[in-house]
Amino acid sequence: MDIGHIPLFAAFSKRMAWLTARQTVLAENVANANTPGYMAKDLKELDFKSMLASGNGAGNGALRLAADQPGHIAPVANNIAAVVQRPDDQSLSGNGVSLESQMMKVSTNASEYALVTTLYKQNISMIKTVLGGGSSG
Amino acid sequence: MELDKSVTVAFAGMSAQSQRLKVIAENIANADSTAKTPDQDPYKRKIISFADELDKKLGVDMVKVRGVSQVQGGFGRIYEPGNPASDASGYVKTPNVNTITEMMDMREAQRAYDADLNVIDAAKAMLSRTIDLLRG
Repeated sequence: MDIGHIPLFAAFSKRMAWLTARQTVLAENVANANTPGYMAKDLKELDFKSMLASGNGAGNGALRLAADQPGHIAPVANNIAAVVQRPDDQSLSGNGVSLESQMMKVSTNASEYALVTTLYKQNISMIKTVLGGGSSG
Repeated sequence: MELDKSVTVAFAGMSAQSQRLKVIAENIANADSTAKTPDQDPYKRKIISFADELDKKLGVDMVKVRGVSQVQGGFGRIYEPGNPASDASGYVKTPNVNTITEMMDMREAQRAYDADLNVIDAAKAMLSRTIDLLRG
């Protein structure tokens, strides 16, 4: 049995993939904190309802890139979600990255990831208990 | 792997900021470097500029140093007749470096460097959490 077929676990791995992708986007923002004309980016929040609607059963509910600009190109592989430009404040050089808010997002991201992995472990240990394999975990 | 990407980008940011720090150090060190002769210009303040560039292999927006440019003009003048660079009336052109501006710039570079380190820490924590899943 593939554990990914259980909707709950499918949702966990989707969430983890999203958080990882967001971490990369945040790293880009921080690295470009002094690049003229660079705007801070962020991922679109996962939509719980659509995740439920598309993700039940098979566990491969499609997360699609939203194309809200005419220049947006359709994703090739397993891209997670739309990268939206969200400038919070702009400096004279046209840079729209605020290190403070990026740091906030980085720490929120890391703790949400910790939350997901903890939930994952808890659920695994519940399954183990049912199977009689002990409640360690 | 995804988390590798954020670490790589953060490293690119760190190396860009350390190059910026190097330029700032040059400026501060040369804050009093005058020219050899009266008709030459003294040390000119250098400015580093960054550019974002899509790394096609990783698919992420990396940061790179676009270039280092010199600031023209805006020199100071001090009266120092004995200096080899002094003109007919005894004035010497001094560099257009303002140490306070450089210090401000230095703090900013340091702050950005710290932020990059933070990102790496967070990515590392996420990675070790993932590995922990295997321990059951």
